[in-house]
Amino acid sequence: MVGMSEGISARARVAITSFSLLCVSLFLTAYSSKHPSLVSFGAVVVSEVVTPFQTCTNFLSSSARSFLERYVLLTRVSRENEELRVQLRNVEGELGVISEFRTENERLRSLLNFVSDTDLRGVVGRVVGSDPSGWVKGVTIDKGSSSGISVGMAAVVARGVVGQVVATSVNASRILLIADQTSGVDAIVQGSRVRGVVEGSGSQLCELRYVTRDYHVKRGEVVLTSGMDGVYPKGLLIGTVSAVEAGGATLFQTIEVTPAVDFARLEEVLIVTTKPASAEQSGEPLSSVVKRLRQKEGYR
Amino acid sequence: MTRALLFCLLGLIAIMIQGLLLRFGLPDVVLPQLVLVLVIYLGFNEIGVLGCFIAFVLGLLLDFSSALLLGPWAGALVTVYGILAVLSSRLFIESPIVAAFIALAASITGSVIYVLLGYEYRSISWEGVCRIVGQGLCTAVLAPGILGLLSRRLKKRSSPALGRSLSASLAS
Repeated sequence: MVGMSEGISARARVAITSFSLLCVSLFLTAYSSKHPSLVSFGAVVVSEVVTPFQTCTNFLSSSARSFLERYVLLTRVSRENEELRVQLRNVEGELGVISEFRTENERLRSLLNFVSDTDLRGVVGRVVGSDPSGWVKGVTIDKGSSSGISVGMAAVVARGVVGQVVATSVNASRILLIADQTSGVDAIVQGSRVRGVVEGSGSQLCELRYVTRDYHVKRGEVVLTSGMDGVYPKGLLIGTVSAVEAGGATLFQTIEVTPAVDFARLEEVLIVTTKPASAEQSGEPLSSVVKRLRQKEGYR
Repeated sequence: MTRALLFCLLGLIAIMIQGLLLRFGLPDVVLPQLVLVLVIYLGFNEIGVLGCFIAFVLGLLLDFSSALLLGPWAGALVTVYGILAVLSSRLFIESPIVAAFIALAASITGSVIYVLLGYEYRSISWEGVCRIVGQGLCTAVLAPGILGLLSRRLKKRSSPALGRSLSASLAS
């Protein structure tokens, strides 16, 4: 009887503690939505612990995969071609390595061309992990604050916009993809010059929101960054309009946007660390503009 | 304290495995919730205030790894833990099938609470519903094996009066 009453009281304690911690969670959720630095602080610690293992595992798995591809399939070949097979294996191995270097070279070259074309300056990071819960569309890269990355910087690839940095540690950063529901990019439709906000829809697609029914947006039109949000440089490709629904009693149209970037195949991303030259010029202080004009006109 | 640190370490490993599974192309719809399996184990073997706090910290670790909102996973996991700990004496987790059903129910409950806690910031879509069910089924498939492994490795040393011990049953 005594044991039973102890058991009941233990369970009551568990119930009360669980309920209290649930209330704490509710408070934390509300508080962290207003103060993202709280999450960043913990994310730094978790990233610093987890990322080295993820990088190591990435390397091991790619090595294991290439090992399997190169050797396991050759085990059934007969002895008569032993010498030829050894030569072939060596050549295949070299070709595999060369091919891997070539594809990596092409990816980096396209990023480099993209950087030189757009005057963007940044840091190239390798994607080493994804969000573990599957609910948040985000990735981890192997470059952090030691490489000059900070929260709020834009992440892009040659094909288009990837997302923005939401947390950084010394050697790792977390990027929230534009396909996430909590992400938003100020955008403009290239043809019709209609502005809106591209948000994630919870799937691999995005939605262009807050476009009133007065504007005509056509399927297949290209959606670009407007540069008005202060995060993404102007004119970067976001995706193409894949569906437009103007019916219903709502004030705004439902415009579906297919992102230009295949987020499942991201390997390297460019973190934009500086604004493009045009933005810097447009950001010239007013005082210096007045001074320049005065000097030009000989006015004192 | 050592036990709490051990579970935190296991939680980090589980988070790492989940992240790597996604990185290597596993769709998030069929991602097993390994951290939740740890919480299920705690719910049957670590009944007390310490267990509550460990479940809460595991949830915080998951929230930190998402780096978006702090609290939804912590709330979801601590609730699942509370429910399991309170019902642990009435749940017969001896059979792997029952363990799988409990994992399915716990996973769906945890995901629903996660969605509800973050509802203001993240609405639910059909894909979200599929994710809840898919992740629940995958967790249910893997849970009996993982629970058995945990029970063999982490022998329970405290009072057997508090509910049925999973370790003895699954080991047998």
